[in-house]
Amino acid sequence: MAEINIFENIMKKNEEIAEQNKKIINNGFCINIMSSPGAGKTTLLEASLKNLKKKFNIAVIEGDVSTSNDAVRIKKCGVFAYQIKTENYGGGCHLDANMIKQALDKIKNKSKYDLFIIENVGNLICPADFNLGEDKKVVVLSTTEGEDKPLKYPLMFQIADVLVLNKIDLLPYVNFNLKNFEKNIKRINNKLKIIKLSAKTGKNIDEWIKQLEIWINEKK
Amino acid sequence: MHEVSIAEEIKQIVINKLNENNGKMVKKVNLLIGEMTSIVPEALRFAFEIVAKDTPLENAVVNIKVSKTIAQCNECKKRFRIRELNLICPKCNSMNIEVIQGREMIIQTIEMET
Repeated sequence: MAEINIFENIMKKNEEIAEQNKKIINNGFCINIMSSPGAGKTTLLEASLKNLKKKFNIAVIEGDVSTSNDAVRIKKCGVFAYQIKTENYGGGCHLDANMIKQALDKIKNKSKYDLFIIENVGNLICPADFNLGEDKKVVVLSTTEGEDKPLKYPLMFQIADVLVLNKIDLLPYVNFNLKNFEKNIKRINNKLKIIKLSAKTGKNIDEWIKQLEIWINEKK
Repeated sequence: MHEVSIAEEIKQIVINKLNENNGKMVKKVNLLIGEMTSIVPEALRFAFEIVAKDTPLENAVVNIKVSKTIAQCNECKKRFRIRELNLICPKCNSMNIEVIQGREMIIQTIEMET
């Protein structure tokens, strides 16, 4: 019987592929957008892409267990979209670096894109564990989900760079206390920037668009 | 959740090490899993049992050590345990803190028969 030292990160392979993805994306800016199902990731993209595509070349990589519904919605905005279906990888609940690498391998003329947007599978837990090669992580939370979700799903809110609080148009109709929410966020991640908007009505969508512009131009 | 894909990764890494060291069978796998990861130890053990079937890891005992969530204050450098989510330095009350432990997923050692 022998004891062998290994001391290896189980996520090592994912991290290595994520680094490869970074090199493939190169000068393009890449964001990984995560949220629960229905928080409004795709609607947020629909609301902002029409403006952004005038200034930047954008590629969207969509992640879902099944269907190409989201990629179809993005294409209708006149933006390139590639759909990953995790059912083709065993039906997983998150995207991993390998899925993104295979998607990137299939996307032609990658160097022309200024912005790569990865819309992750709707899930507030697992996507937080998997780096994809992105530059920034964005979490979308909607006012209908409750002000305590950051406390219930701390890892996601700890690793995010920006939080988009969506559906602010519904604030008069839901039990969502903005002050308590902001307090909860401060307890989890003091550095997390919050952008409050409504993807549906377009209220304050400019702040989100501006943030993307700043990021893209900073990387160039 | 995704314990099955994690178990698959563990299996691959361990089989490679077993072959490198001319081992025949794995008796024990010692893991260090951070408290803050989304991994549920029991679910991981169960997933491992499934993926290890018909491999040299089939009868291995999976020992999971849970790594506590520890943060460090960037102001006064105090390190402290995080239990409930209050990321405030207990010494100087600063909120400028960083989680330094609790997100690991590491295969530490294995015991094998040669």
